[in-house]
Order: sequence, then structure tokens, then C-alpha cells
Amino acid sequence: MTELPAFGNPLTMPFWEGARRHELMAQYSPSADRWQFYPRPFLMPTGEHDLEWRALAGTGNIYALTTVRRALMGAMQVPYVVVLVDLDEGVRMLSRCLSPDCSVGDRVRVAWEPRGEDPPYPVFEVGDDA
Amino acid sequence: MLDLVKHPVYVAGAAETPLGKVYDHTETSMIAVAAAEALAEAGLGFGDIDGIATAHIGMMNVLELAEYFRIEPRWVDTTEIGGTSFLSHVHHAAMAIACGEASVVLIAYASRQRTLGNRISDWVPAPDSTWGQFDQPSRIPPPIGHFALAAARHRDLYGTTPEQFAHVALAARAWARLNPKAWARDPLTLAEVMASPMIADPIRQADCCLRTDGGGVLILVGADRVPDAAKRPVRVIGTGEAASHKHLHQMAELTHTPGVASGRRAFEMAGITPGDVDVFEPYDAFTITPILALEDLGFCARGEGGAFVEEGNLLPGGALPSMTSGGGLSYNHPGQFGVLLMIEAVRQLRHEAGDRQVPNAQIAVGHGFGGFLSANSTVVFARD
Repeated sequence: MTELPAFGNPLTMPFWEGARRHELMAQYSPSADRWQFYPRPFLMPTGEHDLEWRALAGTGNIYALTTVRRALMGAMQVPYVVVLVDLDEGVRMLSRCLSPDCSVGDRVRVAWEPRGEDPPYPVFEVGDDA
Repeated sequence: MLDLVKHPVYVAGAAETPLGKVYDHTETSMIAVAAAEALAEAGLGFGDIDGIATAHIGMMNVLELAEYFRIEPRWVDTTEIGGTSFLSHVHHAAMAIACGEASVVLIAYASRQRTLGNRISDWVPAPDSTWGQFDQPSRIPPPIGHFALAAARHRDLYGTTPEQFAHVALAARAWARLNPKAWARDPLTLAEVMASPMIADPIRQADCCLRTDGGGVLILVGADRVPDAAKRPVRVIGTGEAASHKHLHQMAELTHTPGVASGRRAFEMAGITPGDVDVFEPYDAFTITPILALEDLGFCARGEGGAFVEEGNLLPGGALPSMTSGGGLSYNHPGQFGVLLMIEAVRQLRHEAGDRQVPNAQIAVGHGFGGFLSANSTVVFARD
């Protein structure tokens, strides 16, 4: 690689390339049978070097949530729900849930928020099929 | 291994910078003014300082402090892990003093965040950083949103009620009403806390610390400097720290902080149990943090922090007087509260805290939080 990626960094490019395909990606170590998010050069802390990028199912449960009611983040309209989601493969992501009445423990599925030229951002929705 | 019995370490000076709204100083001159006062307590001068520790006052500013005082320290520490940095500095300074690498250490912090209008939520992370890619796009407002997730998790696991969170703020205010230097001294009722605007569930405005100017310094010395002291030095008998993460999504369990480990290390070094503690100074950035601190350090069982607070244990006259300055919630919060909570612990053990003095206080514990439940440091102080 001779130049920096237009978005993210060299290690996270597969995540954002996946996002453009609406696939939620993470690193997986076959020898350790463990997933890793966010990406590092090898599995931490045990150091396995056999990491490969795989698509997550995109489903999980809300571990914790808060509804932000004061506009502290620029143009972002309040209220909105910030969630920590435990994905079924065992990794956790911080994002937003688009379902305003969601609760802790709810089943959620990834959805994709468009960001113009940038890759879409993975958010979550409560879903019966999740 | 740090042996504070064989190599005693003392706080020989403790002073606040100007507090509240500060228009007539810079951060550096605020620290100089506080250092002069603390050095006078210690019976020392600027030329005696041979170690400086500071954090969160700008890049390489430990050098600016050395230059400003016209000294050349042989030991510096810029460990920067949020508001608890300064309690970690005590741990590190104690090691330096115990092994003879420093003899007089200044620990310092100052901020004019209120006057300058600085807010953490205005911070723009680098777009290719982990924060910029995987934290900031959620539009979680730092740090309120992060602590709100922890408070929500505590509520969901243990049934902690809004009223129980509110009672942390009420305890802080009850103490602040006894402290002439406190920023917020008006009476505060449960109904007023409950009516304050919700910012990020379950955190209301009244669950959040103040945003003031301020800061302070400590002077740490070994036994050789104790005879110089003009005021009674306070002994450091236990220190411990633990650091785990920067991004909250990498924290395994939001109600189990690195404070479990830092507290255990400090209590073991001091040879104390929670029942020995006369004064508790937890870092009250939000009302959730003292509740986590009470559970992490074993003052109550896991999940019972809210009930413990609601019973009135933290109040003046309570079983565990806590946040006795009024805390970050009602006394002062200059962005980083670690130095100020230790200054209050020292004053309580010198028995010079005036109307808010805890009778016959012998052991005080300072417990800092850094970042986003990222790091904790615990310091056990004793009246010598």
C-alpha cells in the first residue's frame, strides 16, 4: 500500500469495505475459535496470527442503553438512543438503536446509516426476526 | 516492592489553587500560588522540589512548571489517565521517595475550563482513530453518555432507583453547605434533583459534577523532611492502581471497574479493611461513580450501593462520611478532581476541616476514577 485509505486506517479497511456491502465484519481466529473487534494485527492478548475477516450474523442483544435528550453533539437531533450491543459471536459494539422504545436485552439486527461518500455506519434496530 | 512502613511517605503540604471562576491567573500561575502555600505548610521552598508530577495541563507542561519555578527536577511523572492521574502520581512519587530518587515531590493540577468554555463533548477525534471510527459516530456525548450507560447497567442489574442516584447528589450538597469554598451551597431537595432535566437516561443534570475553574497541589516528602513541616504531615499508608481500557465498548462489565483491583492493593498495603475507614473521598464525577466505588472497595455488597447511599451513610454524621468537601458534585470540579479529593482527605486528617470536620478522623481513603471507567487509583491516608 502506497497511500493511506480514504476512510479508516489500513487495519480497519476490511470492516468499512464490508460496510459498503452491508456486511458487518470482524476478525476471527480459527485456532483460538475467538472473534475480535475492533481489529488488531493479531488476536489479543494471546497473539494468534491466523486472524481472518468474516461476516458476523449482524444480530445480538442490547447490553446497555441510554436515551440522549440534550443536544451535545453538534447537529445530531435529540432524542436518540445510544446502545452497547453484544453480538451473537461474542463481540460488543457501541452504536445507536433506531427503535425508540427499545429496552435492555432486546434482540436487535444491524441496519446501515448512509453517510454520503463515506461507508455506511452500522446501527441497530429491534426486530422479531433478529 | 513499595514498603511504606520501612520507608514512610508523608503529605507535608496541600493547597487549592484559586477556585470557581478565575480571570486573574493562568493555569501555571494558579499552580505557583497553590505551591507556595503548600510549601509553606511543609516548611520548604521551591528550590527544595526535586520531583514534579502533573497531567492534563497541556503537552510537556511538566517542563513549563520546572521552568516557571526555575528548578531542575531529577524525577518527573506525567502519567495521564484522567481524573485519577494524581492519585496514581502519589503511588509513583511514594516509590520514588522510598527508593531515594526524589525527596520533595510536587503533584499539581489547574484548569480554567469554565472561564475558557472548554467542554469534553466538543473534542473532535482523529477520523481514522478507534474513537473516531467506532465511538464518536454513535454520537455518544463524552463523558456523560458513557457514565449514563454504566448507570443504566447498574439500574438494570440491581434495580438502582433514580432516587438512590439523587441521594448521592444530596449527600454531596449536605457537605458543601458546610464548606465556605464550595461552589454550590444552596439547600437541595430530593424533589429538586428529580425535577432537574434528563440529559442521558438515567443521568439528570443534578447527577453531573460541576464545571468550574480550580485545581490544587500536594507536597510529598520522606521522613527526613518531616521535622521541617509547619503543619502536621499526614502519612500515606497504602496506594494501588489499575488501568484497563480507553473505549467503553471494550470494558467487560460496566459495573465492575478497575477500582476493585486498585482498592484491594491499597487496602492490603495499608493493612486496613473498609470498617477502618473514617472518611471516604470517592471521585463523584456523576452520581453513579460513588455507588460503584462503595461496591468496588467493599463498603457494601455488590448491587447495594444505591441502598447504602439512600440510608444516609454518606451524610454528615453518617456511618461513612463521604465527599466531605462537597465533592465534584457541589464543591468544585475543574475537569480533573483527583488532587482536590486528596486535599480534603489531608485536611480531615489534620482536623482542620472546620464545620465539616469528621470527629477524630484517623484514616481517610481517596479513590479516583479516570477516563470512562478506564482506570482507578486508591490512596489510604493516616493521621500520624
